[in-house]
Amino acid sequence: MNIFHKVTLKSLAINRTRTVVTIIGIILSVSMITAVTVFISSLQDYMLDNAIYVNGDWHGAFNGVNAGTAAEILNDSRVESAALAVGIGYAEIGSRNEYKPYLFIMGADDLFFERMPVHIIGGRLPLSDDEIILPVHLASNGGVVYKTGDVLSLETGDRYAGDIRLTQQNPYISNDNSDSHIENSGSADGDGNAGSDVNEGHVENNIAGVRPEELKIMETRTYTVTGFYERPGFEDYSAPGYTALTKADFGSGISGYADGYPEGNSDAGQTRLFDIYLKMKFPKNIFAYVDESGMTGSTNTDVLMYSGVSRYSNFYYVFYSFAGILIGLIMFGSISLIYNAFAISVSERTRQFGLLASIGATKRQARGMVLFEALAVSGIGIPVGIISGILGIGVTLRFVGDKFYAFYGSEKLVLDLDISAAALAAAVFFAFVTVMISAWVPSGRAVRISAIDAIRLSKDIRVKSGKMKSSLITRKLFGLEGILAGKYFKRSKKKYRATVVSLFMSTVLFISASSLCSYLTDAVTGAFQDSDYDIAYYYSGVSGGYVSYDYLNSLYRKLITVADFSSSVYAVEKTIGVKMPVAQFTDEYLEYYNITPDAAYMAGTDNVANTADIDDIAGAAEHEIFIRVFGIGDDLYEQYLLLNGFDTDIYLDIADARGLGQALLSRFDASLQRFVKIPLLKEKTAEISFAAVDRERRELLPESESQYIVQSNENSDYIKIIPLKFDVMEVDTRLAEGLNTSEKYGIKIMYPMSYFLSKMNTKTCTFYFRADNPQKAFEQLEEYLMANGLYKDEYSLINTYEMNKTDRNMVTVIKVFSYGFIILISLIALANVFNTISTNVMLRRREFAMLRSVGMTERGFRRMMNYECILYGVKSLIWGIPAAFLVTWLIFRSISRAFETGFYLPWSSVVIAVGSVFAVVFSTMMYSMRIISRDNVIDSLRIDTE
Amino acid sequence: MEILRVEKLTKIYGKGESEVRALDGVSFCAEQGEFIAIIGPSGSGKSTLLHIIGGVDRPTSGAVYMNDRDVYAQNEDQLAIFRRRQVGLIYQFYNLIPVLDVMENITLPVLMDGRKINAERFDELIKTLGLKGREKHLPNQLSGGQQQRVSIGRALMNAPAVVLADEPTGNLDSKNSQEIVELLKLSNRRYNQTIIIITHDENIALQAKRIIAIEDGRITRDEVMRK
Repeated sequence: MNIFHKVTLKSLAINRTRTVVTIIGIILSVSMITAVTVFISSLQDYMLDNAIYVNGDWHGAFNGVNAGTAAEILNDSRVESAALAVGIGYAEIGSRNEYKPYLFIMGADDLFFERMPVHIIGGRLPLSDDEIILPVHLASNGGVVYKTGDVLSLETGDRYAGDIRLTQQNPYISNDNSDSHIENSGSADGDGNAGSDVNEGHVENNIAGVRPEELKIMETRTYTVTGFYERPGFEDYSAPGYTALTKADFGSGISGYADGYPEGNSDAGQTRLFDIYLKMKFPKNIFAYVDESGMTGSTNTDVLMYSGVSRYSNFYYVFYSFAGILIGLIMFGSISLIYNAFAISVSERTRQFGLLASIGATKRQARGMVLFEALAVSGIGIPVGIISGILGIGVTLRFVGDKFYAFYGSEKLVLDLDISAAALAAAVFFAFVTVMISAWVPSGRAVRISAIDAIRLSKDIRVKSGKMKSSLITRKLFGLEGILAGKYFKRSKKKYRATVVSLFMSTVLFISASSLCSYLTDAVTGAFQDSDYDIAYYYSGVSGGYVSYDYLNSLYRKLITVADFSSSVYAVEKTIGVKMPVAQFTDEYLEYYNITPDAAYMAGTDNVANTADIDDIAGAAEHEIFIRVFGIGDDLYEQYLLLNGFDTDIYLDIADARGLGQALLSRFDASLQRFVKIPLLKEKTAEISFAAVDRERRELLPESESQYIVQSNENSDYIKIIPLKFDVMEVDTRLAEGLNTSEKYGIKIMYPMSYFLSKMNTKTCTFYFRADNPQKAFEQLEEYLMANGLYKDEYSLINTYEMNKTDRNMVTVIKVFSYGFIILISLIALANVFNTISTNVMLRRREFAMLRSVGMTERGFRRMMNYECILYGVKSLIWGIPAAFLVTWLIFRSISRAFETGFYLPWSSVVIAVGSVFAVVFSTMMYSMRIISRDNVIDSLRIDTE
Repeated sequence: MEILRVEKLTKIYGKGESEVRALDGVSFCAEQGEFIAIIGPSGSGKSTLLHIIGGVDRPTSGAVYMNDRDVYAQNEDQLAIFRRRQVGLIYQFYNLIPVLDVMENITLPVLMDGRKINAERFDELIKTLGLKGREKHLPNQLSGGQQQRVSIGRALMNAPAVVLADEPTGNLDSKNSQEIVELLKLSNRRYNQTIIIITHDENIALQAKRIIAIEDGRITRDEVMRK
């Protein structure tokens, strides 16, 4: 260790407090930087998990290759391993989707089930070649319903267009429009598999527009359904068959499957086609491999991208620029702190540097001393910072990692800690740069200190006259001590500026970050589908017919026994558009939506002299509004009426019931900072009527006539005018449970179901449930519905509880991250303020001793310090609070584009900011003064070098 | 042998009305082994002259030659090395590095050079200075006289061409002052070292071989007292 390093280390040891605070500052900023970089690497890993979840874990794929080619690929030395599936055949299954008429049976090996996105929803994977799993969209899209345990006997075969054999990559060529369909064929798969198959080009060239395809039956196979799985990512949207998976054993080599058609079949000898999804030993090689193969293969774009093999995406741009901004902010905050620490250290040792220069230290050696100081503090700060950063983000992700699906990806995946070497390297790099930038400028100053200046110590006091006048108010309030403090403040403005700037920055950051947080929370909460049920089941007649009250009632009785529900309701619903006179609406509503009576109408009136005229015009104009009409199960509705004190004679009259209506507008009230409900209709009772088409009768007509009726709206034989009367409930009265979803505005009317169904037809009904354990109840209900063929698709059964949880999770995540950021940045600012103020006080030891020696009392000192504290606080807040308000306003502006909100200031944060600014300043001052007051006056007066 | 030549040194502080001529055309030569005392009232330019000779301050005009080398024709780094090897500076307020011990303070110029310490020379020096046994003490553990002896040690460690002392006894009592002067005389005799000392103390000045008096930045008297 050379002598300069020794001097540096000893100086660091002597100024222990400042060194510790500097190191803490470095630790804080490094841990924040690490948190950002490690978070980005974890996020990238999460994106990769999601990409694998959707597309599967493979690098490249070839679809529809024959056994020979498949074997070649499997044996290639560059290929690490490959998942294999064989096309067993297509079978007609009576799908209602005319472009997807088949079930496509695919035999897959273990690796396929392991790596490909086969996500079981109910049941289990097939364990042998006579078991099968079906995709859920077979029911939801194709309308073909099976349940676990069903045995399917399928006549399977291959599709041909003329002589050309077709694969899953060739869309269905139907009877009437084979032309248009062939053109759509190929790579429009939408899930990142930018590929197609080997036969495709061939097929297009030869058969476009020739004739429809046909299915050549080859064999009969029998399968037992063991479960259902999510619509797979490897099935193109244009694929003609729903992919059913069975197990294939390629243990004896794929050649066994090569000509596996039953003997005696006319097409025996025709080979089966394979889909092969491979992983390379070196993922990078996949592009060259696919190119060289001479076949049309595909690459797993997303997976390759997120594992860092290829990077032609917005992901890197968006996330790296996001990370860049954050790191920039952190570096900005920390540089001001660390820079200050070094600047103080240098100015405190001005004399030391000068002295060393006078006995022959070169400039390089002087600079080297400061940079060595930087190295020494980062030697401790950076490793500790990185560890605490990893711990911090690790703990954070532990708590909120499972909530990230609220923003992106599947809720089955957790964003967990993934520490990549690159992330750590980036953190170290940025941390080092931060410290070095902070040290460089002060080291320049150390170099500039000339020996003679240091010996004379003449640089410190250089005051321009005329700038030292003190105000009368200061004199009155703080006396002589105040004047002294004020003069000191003015004399060394530079030293103070650092403190004021760091206080200013932390004020602005704190207030604006909390307003951002508060506005975001408002926005997300405002967008909540605030509902009063946990689970909703949308029944739509499986047979496609209209619902009957008796059926729904009996279904309801069955459903409520399936799981442990705490309450439930079922209701049919119709949404109708109705024109109502503008005069019936409240002024608030009209004003809010800026609804004025028809402009043309207004123009026709020459002179609107008095308000009565306007009312007349308004009375004549109409406004269309959508009304949701509900029919609630009679007995449940009766319970509701009794519970809320409504007259059952009036509202439950099955022959001629009055409806109960809710007509509300919800508007954001900036003063209350929440949404308030405002009545939408003036009167307490209203009557509407609307025209309903009798679809059942109309459907019996030929299409052209039916079309005519729809367009003309005239033929009253097919159109019923339905009048509805209803009473408007009070603003705060709730609808029957399940119907209270929050909406911006609207009218909802409830009737008993049998009355509703006597007036209108519908094919659907919704069952609303609440449960103490919504997740369990959901699963039980799902199982029951699937087993009984009542589960049509993933939209049949909605776990609202889970969805609301998603929204709440989003708020939690936003809060955790923004408050974490605020707290850490504030801590950095705090360390900064502490360092500057305490050093400033220490540097004035001699001055204080002098004042004491000429008789200044403790009280006098306190007055002087108080005045200084107030100067610091007021100066920083005078600039900081308006700046923070400006930022808040900008935040409001950008948020209000997307969400309804009113401008308000985060007063509680302002109070906290003001309070903490003064608390920090005063406590630091008191801390330093206490140390100084222990000094002996004469000793301090003697201080000359240090 | 001429070791130092000062030619028409001028140093001007400030501009216009507030212009101060600290040095106004000072010229003199010094032979190796001379012991020169510079005397003069406060503000006469003594210290400025000494600092310019020592390479820590720059003259407004004029030149300083040491061993026939133009001191201020060197760049900053060369100047630093010059200070390190050719000059030993002693101040009134010792100016020791408080975090370094006696040994480190004395050997600082050698350490800065990155050279090895000549143990023999250091031993001899510390015995001469009467600091034996105090090598590991920090400056604040020493008396004023001891501290000044440390700073003399530092100035002599590299055996520089010229030792410049700026009122080295200004802060000491008469006993300590005499000891310091004896040390300087000893080094002058034993190593044939050229010594230039600024002093207010007539007693000390009279012990020098040559006295230069300065007033208002000019040499008013330059007489050789003894050979």
